[in-house]
Amino acid sequence: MENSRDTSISEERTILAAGGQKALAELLALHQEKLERIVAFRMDPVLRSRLDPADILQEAYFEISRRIHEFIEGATVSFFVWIRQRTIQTLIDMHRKHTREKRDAYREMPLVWAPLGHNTSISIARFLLDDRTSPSQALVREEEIQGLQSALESMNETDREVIAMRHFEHLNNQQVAEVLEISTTAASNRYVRAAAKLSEILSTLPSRRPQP
Amino acid sequence: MTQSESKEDRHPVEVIAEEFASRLRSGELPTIEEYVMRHPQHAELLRSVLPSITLIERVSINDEQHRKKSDSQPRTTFVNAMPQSLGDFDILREIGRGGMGVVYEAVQRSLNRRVALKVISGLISGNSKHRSRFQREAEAAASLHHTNIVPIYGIGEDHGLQYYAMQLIDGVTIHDVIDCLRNHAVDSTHVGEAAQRMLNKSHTETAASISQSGSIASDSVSDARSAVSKAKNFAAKESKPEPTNPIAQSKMESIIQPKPKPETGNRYALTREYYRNVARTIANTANALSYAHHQRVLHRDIKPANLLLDREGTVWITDFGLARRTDLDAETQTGEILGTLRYMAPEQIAGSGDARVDIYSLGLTLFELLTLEPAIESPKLRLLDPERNSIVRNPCSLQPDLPLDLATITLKACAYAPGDRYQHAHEFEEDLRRFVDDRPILARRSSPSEQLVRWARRNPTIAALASATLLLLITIAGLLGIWNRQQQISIHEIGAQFERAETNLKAKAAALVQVEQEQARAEKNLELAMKAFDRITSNIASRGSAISLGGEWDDEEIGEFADATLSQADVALLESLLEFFDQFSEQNAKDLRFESAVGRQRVADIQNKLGQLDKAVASYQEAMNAFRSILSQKPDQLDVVLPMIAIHTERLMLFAKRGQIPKSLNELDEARNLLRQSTEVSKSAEGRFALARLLNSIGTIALQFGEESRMRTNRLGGGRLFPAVEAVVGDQAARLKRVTDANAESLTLLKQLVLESPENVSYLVVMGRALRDESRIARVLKDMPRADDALRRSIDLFESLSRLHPDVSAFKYELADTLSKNVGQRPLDQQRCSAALKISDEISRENPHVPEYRSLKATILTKLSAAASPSRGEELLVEAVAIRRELVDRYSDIAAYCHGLIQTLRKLSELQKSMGKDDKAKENDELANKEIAKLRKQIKVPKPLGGRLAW
Repeated sequence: MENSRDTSISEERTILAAGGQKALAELLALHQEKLERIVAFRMDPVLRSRLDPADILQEAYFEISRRIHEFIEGATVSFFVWIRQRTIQTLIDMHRKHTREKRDAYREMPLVWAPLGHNTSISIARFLLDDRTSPSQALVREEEIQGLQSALESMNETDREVIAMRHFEHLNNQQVAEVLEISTTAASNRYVRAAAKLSEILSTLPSRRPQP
Repeated sequence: MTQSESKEDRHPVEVIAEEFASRLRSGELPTIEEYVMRHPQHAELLRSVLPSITLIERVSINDEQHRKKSDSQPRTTFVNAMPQSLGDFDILREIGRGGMGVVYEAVQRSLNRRVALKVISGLISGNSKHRSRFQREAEAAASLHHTNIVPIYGIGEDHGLQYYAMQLIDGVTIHDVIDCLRNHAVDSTHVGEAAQRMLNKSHTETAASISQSGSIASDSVSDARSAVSKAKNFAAKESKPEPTNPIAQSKMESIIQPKPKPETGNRYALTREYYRNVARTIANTANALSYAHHQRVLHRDIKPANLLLDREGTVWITDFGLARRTDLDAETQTGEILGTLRYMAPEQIAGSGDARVDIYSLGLTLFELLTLEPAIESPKLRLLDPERNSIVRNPCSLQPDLPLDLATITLKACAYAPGDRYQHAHEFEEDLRRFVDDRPILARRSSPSEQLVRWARRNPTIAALASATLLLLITIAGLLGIWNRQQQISIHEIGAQFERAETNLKAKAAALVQVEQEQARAEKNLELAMKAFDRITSNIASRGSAISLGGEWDDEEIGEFADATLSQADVALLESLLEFFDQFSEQNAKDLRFESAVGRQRVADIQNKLGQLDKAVASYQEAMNAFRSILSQKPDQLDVVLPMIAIHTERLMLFAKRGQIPKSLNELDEARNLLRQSTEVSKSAEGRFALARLLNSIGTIALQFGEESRMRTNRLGGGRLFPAVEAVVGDQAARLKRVTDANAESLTLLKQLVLESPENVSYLVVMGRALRDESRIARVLKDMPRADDALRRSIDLFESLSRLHPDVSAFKYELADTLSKNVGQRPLDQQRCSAALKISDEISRENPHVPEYRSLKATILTKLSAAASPSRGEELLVEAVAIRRELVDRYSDIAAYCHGLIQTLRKLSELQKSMGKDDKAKENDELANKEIAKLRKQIKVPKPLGGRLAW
């Protein structure tokens, strides 16, 4: 299982090495939608007031194309996970640049992975509060949203991240496994545990149990 | 990526949850019970987990909501399956996707015709704002009927989807054509043919050949698109979140397979015919826009991808997707950014704009067709700083063959300020038609000053500095322009240089990648601008002296000397220029210390000539210090040593004027030391010439002031403006000897120089002056034969110079000056003096604006009066007073002219007194006293002009 992942990573590396910028552009295009989601999800409102998510993505693409050799030469994660890291790092950099914020260990995104901590819950809160006008959200009651928010906030960081990556960023199990640097089996189990935990917390909130 | 995972490794509930979530995302409503029944062994866990997942997925924002702001790329926005039919229309296939919907090819059952059906995205149609925009768009578009606008058939709503039907155009987009030409991929595809049509054949010919091939409408757009390179940008996207394996695989394979494409000469050489076809096409588009604008409909999203070329080569404007009626500006006025960023007008980005935004966007489209490159390189940056990043390059820089008129038209259409563009689409069309018909176009290239103004508007900070200079330059131009038209030309040169510097600075701001290179270029242009500027300042500085030897002695340039006078304003002007130098040196990497030093020297020169001797001494010292510090880094630099010697020369004269003879001689010693230190310089002709002038000047100064100060001290009563310097001449034999030696050495040096370069008139002029001084020295020493001989040689020299260069008044001036020197009672002296008067009269009339010539004439008149009868003498003196009065009135701040007037008035007064005309004598004496009072005031209280100018 680890081997098959390595094989696919090495394939991606070969493709990128041989295909150059063009191959990169096409590979990026395959993942664009997800990256857009990620940016939308993780983007700070302060930054959003100044920049469009598309700008962040453009900047991230620029970073990615500039550093693509790092992936080709020493990738340990799949292309998608790598570009996700780069995109999140770009987001953090842009945020820092725009808020003149001092370097903050919390926001320093290590190359591989560290939980984004409270940032994730901030992102979730914002995500939940954004754009109430959408028809699907019109079906959801205000208190349900608040319930979900507080439930997510009361979870531990890794569980929250797992839920966020699966349902807000739309990452699949293997990608979550790579991000967390655990096996797909472990990631899968972790997800079920987190989801069960979330349901449990939600069920303790009176009358906020969602109606399917 | 999921393919490498086997489901056995994963928690079954996680796998189920993934499927469940994915179904929710695609709009289905799976029930929990369904899953419980399918997986009874996980019933409890599923009942617990799936409701939470439902909640999260419902709450989680759909993709669409994140996209609405970034319409810059085509989006595959909805996951809904393609509908089979909508209302009267059977959908055949998808042919394109736009900002808000998908375009299908469809058949209208009732009329059995093929149409293009634009369906608004399901999610967007849920949004009332988008809904009403769609409505408006269809309404606006349906009201337009023009041969170059895709007609709208109707509008409808079915299955909760809104759509409109329009004529299906069998064509390709201009975007694809440009892509095709850029990639050198003109082939047999539809796009290739369209490109070929643009390239060389006339429209009708090709259209015929293509319709013979009889291909049908359905393979048009999509085939065309597929022919274009796929990965041109990030636009290509998978519509499903998880790309299925085979698709991804084949895509990757296509990437690594190198495409057979010539790498060199990557684009077609664009022909004259191509440019004409482009002009024709854009003219037709402009015509359609003009029509739409008259109907009060703006397109607001004109771009190559929205212009179709059909098989006849006719252009069609499509996708009035963002059009708004100009008279109905309800919700679209929210400042929301619509349209494609790359082609949007700057004011549109800011959320406003009128019909001129379409002209701008069409201009950019024209640009791209002409150069095959996008006009705006970094559309992303436009959001951050639309001003700076909306500058359109000159298309000629990309396509050197481009006809100039077409470039002019393009630049006018996409000028940054709406007011600088074509104001109406029909004007744009008219100019394009003029180009096609080889008639002169109406647009004109903006003049350098206009470009400068525009540039300044865009770059307020950079421009602030440069415009300060420009203002000063314009001021100088104004000053000089009064007297000398030629000077205007050099102002234009400066303007052009600054413009070039501006262009580079502009590029510097835009292309951060090439910062270093650009900077170097910008600095080079700045240097050129500085040179031109230097010519102006040296011209200012050389004014006020009859002849300057600083410059080159090209015939044209001689005319420029002494062609104006200088004033206090010049000093102020130069001082503020010096401020600019200092600022520039501080803010830029460019070292302007040398220029600054030269500038200070010029200021000192002018102050010196204005009689502000204290200020002049201080300024000379500053200049000297500046030069010294440069010299310490670059010893033996001729450029630096020569001005230093010039400063020593000036200071030498200055101290001599003030009677500070030891100081004066000290300057001589310092200058000699300087020359001794730099052997290279002292060996060079320039160095030796500088020394010769220095040596000559000490003789001149000693004699001149020795002679005149005696006169002055007598006549100015208590008002001795210059301390007596007769000490140099008479009393101190040792100093006189030094002066004699100095002049002799000067003559020796000059003789050598003249032998080396007999054609160098500068040497001859200084030699003539040295001979004149020699004559005076000899006279002081009572060596009359030698004095006469030297004077004769000096006169001969200036006479031949005047004969050889009859157009150069400066030589005649020197001749007249020499002739009138040494006036004794001999008939020869009187003859010479009369000749001098004739010459000075001639050059004064020829050059009425040169005060020195008239001043000389007054001096000669005064001299002649001494030998004439009293009545004739009075006549001559009255004329001299009139001239001097005029000079003083005009150049009130030049002390020398005041002195002249006072002396002449005194002389006249004395003469009249001796003639018994007491009243007149008294009157003139009072006038003289008045002038003295004025002069004192002026010298003691310098004009408080400071560095600021009040132009």
